[in-house]
Amino acid sequence: MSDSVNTQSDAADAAEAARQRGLEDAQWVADARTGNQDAFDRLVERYHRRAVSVAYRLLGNAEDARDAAQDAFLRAYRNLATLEDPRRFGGWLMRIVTNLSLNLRRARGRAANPAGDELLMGEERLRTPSGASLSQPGDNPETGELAIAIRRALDELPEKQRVALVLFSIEGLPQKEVAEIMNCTVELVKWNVFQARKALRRALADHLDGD
Amino acid sequence: MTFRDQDNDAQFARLDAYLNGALEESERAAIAQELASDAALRREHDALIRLEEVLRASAKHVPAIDSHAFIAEARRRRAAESPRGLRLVWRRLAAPLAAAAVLALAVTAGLLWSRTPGGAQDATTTSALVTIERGPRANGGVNRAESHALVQVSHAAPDSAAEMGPPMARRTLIVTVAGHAQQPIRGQADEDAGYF
Repeated sequence: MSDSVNTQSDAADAAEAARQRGLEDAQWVADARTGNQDAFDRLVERYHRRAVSVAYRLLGNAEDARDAAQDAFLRAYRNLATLEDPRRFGGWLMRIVTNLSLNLRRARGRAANPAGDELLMGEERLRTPSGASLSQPGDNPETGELAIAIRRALDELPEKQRVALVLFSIEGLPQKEVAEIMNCTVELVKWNVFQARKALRRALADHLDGD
Repeated sequence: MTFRDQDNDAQFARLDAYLNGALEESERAAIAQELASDAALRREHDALIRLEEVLRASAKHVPAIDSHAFIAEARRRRAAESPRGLRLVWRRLAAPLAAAAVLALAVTAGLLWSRTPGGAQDATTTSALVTIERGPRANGGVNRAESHALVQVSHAAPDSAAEMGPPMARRTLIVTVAGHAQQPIRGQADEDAGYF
């Protein structure tokens, strides 16, 4: 009962924080529309980490991810006047980041795409919340089998499943926000995440089954 | 049962919903009971938890970002955007603007020139009934034709030939502009100049 009350309280706090953030975003967008560069700087400051992170999940390369994020902010700046609800700047920006990253990914082609390779660097940082390394005994710490398998499995996912999984399961965005970013329904987000998990479960069976 | 051996979507969906807290309390309790007695289901449950941990853990691996540098770079790109936009607009409009400027200059110069004493101050172009004298007839009369035409008339030299067009005369005609100015003006014109 107490847990339930706490959960509800946390959800309410999160919703209020999101509302406040939306109001601040709207004010900064309004100021930026008048040419106030400091206001747009605040938007960049607030969202640049998430923008780079999302681009990184989709591109697998830090340099490309930073560049895609910069491009996304520039496009957002150019098209600020078209943003209908300035409180939703964050979701709108992530949509731009996602589209740019997917376009870049398509453009460079999968054959020549080292997507995910950098994700393997520093693989020793891939640890479970309990602190256990995701590497199997005997794995090269730089290119652990599980890390490679995850990267390959993510790479094999259909685009929408990959995006849904990255935004929801990895970035931890709410399903509603993911739906806005993907321009689809929440139900479709759930379905894509479900299918992606199922595919990963199959692909990683050898690594996930504890026997 | 293992998920690998049987493509049991329904079972996977149940576990997925269970782990996401998307089930009614009664169904949650039912699955919890099954997990206690079904080792295969429990293995599948544990594998899904591990998968979720793997995904969450990968979120911790993000590229190093120098926030200050990133924000400064974003501002630099925005600053570079404006002049580039203006350059683009200028490239598109330069030719039409140049043409318009030349035209305006020509019109202004023409107006000033036409009002300048000694220039074409007294010159005017008018639509007038022009009588064309093609020379004497064989019977002694004058061969004439009349037509409305734009005629440049010079009051400064009413007695001199009024220029009617480029000197491409196949035949030189004598024209009279009737009823214009104080006296009829005679001049020369090219029949092929298109005035008649």
